Amino acid sequence: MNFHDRLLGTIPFIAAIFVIAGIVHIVSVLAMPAVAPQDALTRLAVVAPQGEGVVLLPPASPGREIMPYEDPSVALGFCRFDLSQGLYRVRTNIDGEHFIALSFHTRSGRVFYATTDRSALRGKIDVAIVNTGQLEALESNDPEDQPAPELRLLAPAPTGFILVRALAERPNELPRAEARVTAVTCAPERPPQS
Amino acid sequence: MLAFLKGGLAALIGIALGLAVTFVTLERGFGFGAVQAGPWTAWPRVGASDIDPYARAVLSRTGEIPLAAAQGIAFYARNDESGAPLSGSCDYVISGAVPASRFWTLTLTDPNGRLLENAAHRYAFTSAEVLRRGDNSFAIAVASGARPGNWLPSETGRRFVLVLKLYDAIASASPSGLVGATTPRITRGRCW
Repeated sequence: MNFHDRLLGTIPFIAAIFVIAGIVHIVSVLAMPAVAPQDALTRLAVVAPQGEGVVLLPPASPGREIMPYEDPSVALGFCRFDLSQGLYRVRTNIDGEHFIALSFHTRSGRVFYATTDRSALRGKIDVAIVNTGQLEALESNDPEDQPAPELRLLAPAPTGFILVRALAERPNELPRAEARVTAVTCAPERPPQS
Repeated sequence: MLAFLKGGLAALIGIALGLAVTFVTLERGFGFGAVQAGPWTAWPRVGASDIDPYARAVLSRTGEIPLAAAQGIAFYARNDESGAPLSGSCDYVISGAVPASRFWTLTLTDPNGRLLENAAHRYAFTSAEVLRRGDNSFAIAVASGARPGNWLPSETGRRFVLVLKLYDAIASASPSGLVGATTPRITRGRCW
């Protein structure tokens, strides 16, 4: 076997390595949200393993952050939803002056809806997170000639969380920002029986 | 027998190479869709529902919860204007204008997004509390030792990252609005 033949013989070997490497790379990137041990909801659950309603996170300070790149000027809270318990309702009144933002996430952190007080209607944010069946149940109970009283969000996954952010413009305003976070009500709701 | 061994070896090397490529790409940040504005980089699609698989993998690994596109946008700076990494062994001045938004905050973190302990308990500035000059412009000094005026403490010898978050930013709704946005300058001063 001369040098030329040997070189030709290694080509399938090298090609196999690249094909396998490509497949492994794609599969590992796609599988990461399913296998990562520290996804967003897991980190949040450390603060409150159980419970309904909004959970206030401790203020960001060195060594006590729940998530990387947390904003220390923002009061944070979260609610977790599980649509197997019924649809999930999120409500808050807004004062039109202070920044409050709600973002709706799947458990890996992907955003599926977000809003701030700027886009609220009639001085309040009123959202129902639903799956297809719950949406149909709601719509079948709607009065014919009236718009739906709340925003209905079709969730891409049965579980996830809502993150509430309220901005404290100055450090001494943080307690008031936290009060605006805890004023948000989140709760599962049985669909009306028909 | 030899072919079987060769196949097994190819599989092993392939798996190792594939995982190594995944590790390197995820360590490098959010991947595609980066918008560059001066020394600052933003990933507007990370907060949108059409997030790409690489960014989703990064988020699920770090646990970071991005600002949603409808709420604002975050810019990250790891280097100064000249391209040199931000270091606690140098002084910097951040000055100039911020893209139009309702509020902004400027936070200093370590390269993993953690706040740095300091005696002044100062980790960030907000647009409301920053001291401004007569013409509404501002300058924030970043240094390990105390400075008069707006001072954001760094830690001697440690690399750091600056995070500029714009809340209710006008440009965040469309990534194209961010291209060439006027962002603050990061000028390096003295090093030792």
